[in-house]
Amino acid sequence: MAEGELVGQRVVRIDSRAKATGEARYTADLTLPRMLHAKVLRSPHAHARILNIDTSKAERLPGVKAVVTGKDAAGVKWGVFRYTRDQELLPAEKVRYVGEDVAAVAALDEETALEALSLIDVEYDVLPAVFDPLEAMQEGAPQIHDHVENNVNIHVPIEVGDVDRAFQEAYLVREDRFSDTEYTYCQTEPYAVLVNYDSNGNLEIWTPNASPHTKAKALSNLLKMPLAKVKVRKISTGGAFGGRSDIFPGEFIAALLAIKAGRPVKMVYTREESFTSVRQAHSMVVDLKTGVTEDGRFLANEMKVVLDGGAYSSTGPIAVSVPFLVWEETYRLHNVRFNGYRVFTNKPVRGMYRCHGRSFMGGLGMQLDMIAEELSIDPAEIRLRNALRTGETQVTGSRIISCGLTEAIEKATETSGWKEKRGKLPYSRGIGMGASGMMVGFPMGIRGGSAALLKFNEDGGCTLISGVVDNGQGNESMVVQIAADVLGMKMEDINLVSSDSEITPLDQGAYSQASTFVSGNAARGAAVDAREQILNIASDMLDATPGELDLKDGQVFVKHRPEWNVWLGKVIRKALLDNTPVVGRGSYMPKVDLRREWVSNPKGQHAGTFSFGAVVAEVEVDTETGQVRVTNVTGAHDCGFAINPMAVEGQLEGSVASGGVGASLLEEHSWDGGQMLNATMLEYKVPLSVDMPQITPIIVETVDPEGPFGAKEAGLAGSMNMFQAVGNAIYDALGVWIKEFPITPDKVLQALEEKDPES
Amino acid sequence: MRLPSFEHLEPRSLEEALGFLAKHKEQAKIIAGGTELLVCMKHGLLAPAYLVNLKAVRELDFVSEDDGGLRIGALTRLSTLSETPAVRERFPVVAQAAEMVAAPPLQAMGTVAGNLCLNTRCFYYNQSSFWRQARGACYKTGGDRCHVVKGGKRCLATYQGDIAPALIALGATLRMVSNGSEREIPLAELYTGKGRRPLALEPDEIVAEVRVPAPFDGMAGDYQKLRLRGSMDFPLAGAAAVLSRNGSGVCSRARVALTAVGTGPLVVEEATQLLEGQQVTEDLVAQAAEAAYEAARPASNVGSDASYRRKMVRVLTRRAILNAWRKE
Repeated sequence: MAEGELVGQRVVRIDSRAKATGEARYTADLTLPRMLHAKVLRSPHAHARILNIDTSKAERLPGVKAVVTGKDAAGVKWGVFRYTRDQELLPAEKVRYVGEDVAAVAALDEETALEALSLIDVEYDVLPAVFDPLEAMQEGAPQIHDHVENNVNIHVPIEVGDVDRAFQEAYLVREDRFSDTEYTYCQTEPYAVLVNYDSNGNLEIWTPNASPHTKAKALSNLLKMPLAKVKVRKISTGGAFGGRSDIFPGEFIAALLAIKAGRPVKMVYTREESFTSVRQAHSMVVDLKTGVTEDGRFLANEMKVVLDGGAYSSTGPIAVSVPFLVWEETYRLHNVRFNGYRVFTNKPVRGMYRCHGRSFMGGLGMQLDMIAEELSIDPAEIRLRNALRTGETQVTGSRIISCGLTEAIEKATETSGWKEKRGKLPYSRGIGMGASGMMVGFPMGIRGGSAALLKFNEDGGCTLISGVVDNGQGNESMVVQIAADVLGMKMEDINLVSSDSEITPLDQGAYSQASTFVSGNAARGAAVDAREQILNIASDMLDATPGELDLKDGQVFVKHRPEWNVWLGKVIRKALLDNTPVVGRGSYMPKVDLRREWVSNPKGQHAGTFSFGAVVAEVEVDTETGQVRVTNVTGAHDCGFAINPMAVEGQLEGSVASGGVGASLLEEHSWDGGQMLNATMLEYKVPLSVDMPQITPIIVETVDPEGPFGAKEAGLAGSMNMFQAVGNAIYDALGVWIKEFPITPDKVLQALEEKDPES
Repeated sequence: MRLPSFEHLEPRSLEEALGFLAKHKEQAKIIAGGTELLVCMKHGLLAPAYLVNLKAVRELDFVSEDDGGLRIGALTRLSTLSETPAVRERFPVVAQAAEMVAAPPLQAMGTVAGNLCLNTRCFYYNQSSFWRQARGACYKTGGDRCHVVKGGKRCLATYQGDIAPALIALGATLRMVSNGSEREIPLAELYTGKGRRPLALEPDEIVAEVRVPAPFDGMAGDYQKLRLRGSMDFPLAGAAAVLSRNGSGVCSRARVALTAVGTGPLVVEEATQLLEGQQVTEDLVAQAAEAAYEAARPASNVGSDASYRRKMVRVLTRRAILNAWRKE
């Protein structure tokens, strides 16, 4: 195969066999000699001062080897940004949500640890609590953090152009309020962590994660240990969806226990703990004002969004910005005003989920349909008129180097039979669309790039060493496929070593859809470098210039005389004897404006490139029960170039399920104050296989000038667009707009009753 | 979550099982499929010192035809029940309801008596010990209050079984045995509606079998279930209707039973009065559905809003009656 022949093929992923047979190991599967089991005592109060913790009885229980409280945590605070460090991972003075960590025990077995928890006496002074972000912003609301007035955690203001004048000039102005509840990730694998600490001060950590390097750096800061001593090891991760990205109390507490006990400590969360005490996604209320020209082009866009951030900052500045970013990455905007607020409440901590609720798109995707209707423009057409194209610059300054949005909209409408169906289906059946752009990476400073190494063995096989992280997306297989393509090898002849913070070079991690674009580029660079070294050495052996040579199936040969060839192993051996061992090296840093900052400077090139997608959904509504069934989804995604089309389609289908069908129709938390009523897989309604629609994935290829073989990202078109598509399809079916997500049957019925009180 | 410790008893016969129950009384719990019991034990809701496992009591695992009716052994798996030809052909509403219980893997584990004896459920009850310790004990856990309706005078935990309404509408009875005695009660009488003790079952008693009388001439039934997902979920509301049509097209017998909208299954007597002896018209069905709506008493404690679920009783009942009537 020549370069470019293996990429683009539908190949079986390298991790499929182990995952399918159950051979893949997850954190909870691991056992180390002398390992202890840990459990955490959690706050039953939403807001309370800790007056005293008495652990003496627990410490005396036979089998208990270590007990830690906030006193052992030395008051260190975690926050993703320097200016958001407000979370004590094991608080000493105050708890701020039900389920927050208060103390922890490591014991010989889990039963003993649980028994020990029941022997810990905590004295609380219960404080007034607040659970609604709009209430929390009012004067006189309980103050959750001493330094934060009105509980406003983050405020991101963005203004470009003359918004007020543009509204005056607009032909039509619409104002709507949309809202969306918070979600939980419900990854198949509950949170788990294993920590080993040795007498030389080495700390090893296994935990499902989206970036071993980020975890290692944070823990080295929090525990005041050199980075080289903190080693986050590779482990299979049973799903992430954004929920493995931050630093959590679990790994910090397990480390404190392991250090204190001098023994390995494993802690496996229950499903309930995974719901309440790791991360949830933000809920939000959005006020959206949009002004357009007579032909439906955006003139002025104004948005105020209030996010319920829960008790701590987490990824706050990113979360607040994202509802804005998703517009500017999709449509040609001119005059914009954005005010995003993330507000503290006494609820579990909110973090990123499928790129921070971008799927909801702040309601713009539904309001656009409302505007289209008022102007008698087809919803697909109004999107095409406003859609960004290659070479354009977004309103805060990001240039788009490849854009398949127009093609995605056109293909999704054509394949789904949009023209024949929209507005023409019988009552109770409808069709709707959604479109969006998405950033591929974002400025992460020194952590924004990736590097890879590739070393050859004397038998011609090789090992690729990459920081790439795979949470189930297929990233590991992706880098191997790329390297195999460049080197003319079979994928099974390349061994991959990845996602170990000690062994593999720095990588941005499985964040922000960047793995293919950044890690894939680095892997390709390493393979290209190794290939050049091999051809150089072989050129002496074959008496030809490197340019005349090719490498394929373990043979280096002269392109015009293939019978003049040499075995790759022989080339590697010669390189070793010549003291020039073949080690390929590659790296990639996306071309972003590093001065860009979420709050203080939201302008400049935000991501190296952007990908785009459009989704058409068809629904059937039972107008007596209000139940909505999504029957068909056609999703077209501009992934730049599909390295493994099967994996791209799988990602699209997965994103219709996770964050798509379920999040738009079913998934929501029930609360009584700060206590979650449905923190179980039975009562939190993740869609089941029987609830899934027929999905038709369409791959759009724009061959990005920067991406490896032109590839960008492949994960988000489904989840980002399902909300709009479903909301719009319900309107097409019933003639009612439901602006509060999720669109549960009772809301549908209520909307129908309001429309026709006689019914 | 961990199971509390217990002693596992494995009787080989019904007699031996009854002996264990007589000996250990309240300290013992019967386990069959375990699909509900083990979850409750992990949540710390039950901590029996003894589990009497009936899996080896084969004499309770049977389905047989008897005088035109059915005898269903307590240990019959729900999947077996819905696959048995006599059930499918002669009492299809039972198979229909059994196939809607949870999901296929749970139907393969869960038993008929286990499903009938389902404990009542509530968002404030079916929770871990940690979760529940954040508030005081409620009526169902031996406390003095209801968390669902503040100031409420009684437990509102909801009965959410699927097969009970269908069997009640068919007029099923239960044969219950204890050491040295045995009794037969109408299935509907199994349910007390009381939070602490939702089943009229003595601690030393076992539900041995369900008896379904022979079908009436021209009989057909239907079960309608409201759930948010296409599988797995307990009903948010459910309605079973069994109707018989005589030779002149008149409804000679009608039974409507509801589930998941009260503390036990509800029999809608008024529907019987409205429909029996009448030509079944859309209007009459609407009246019967309205009667079901009036009878339903859902609480906001098992997901979805209670007023929405109550409205759905009207829809489900109408659909169940019409389907049953049209099937015949």
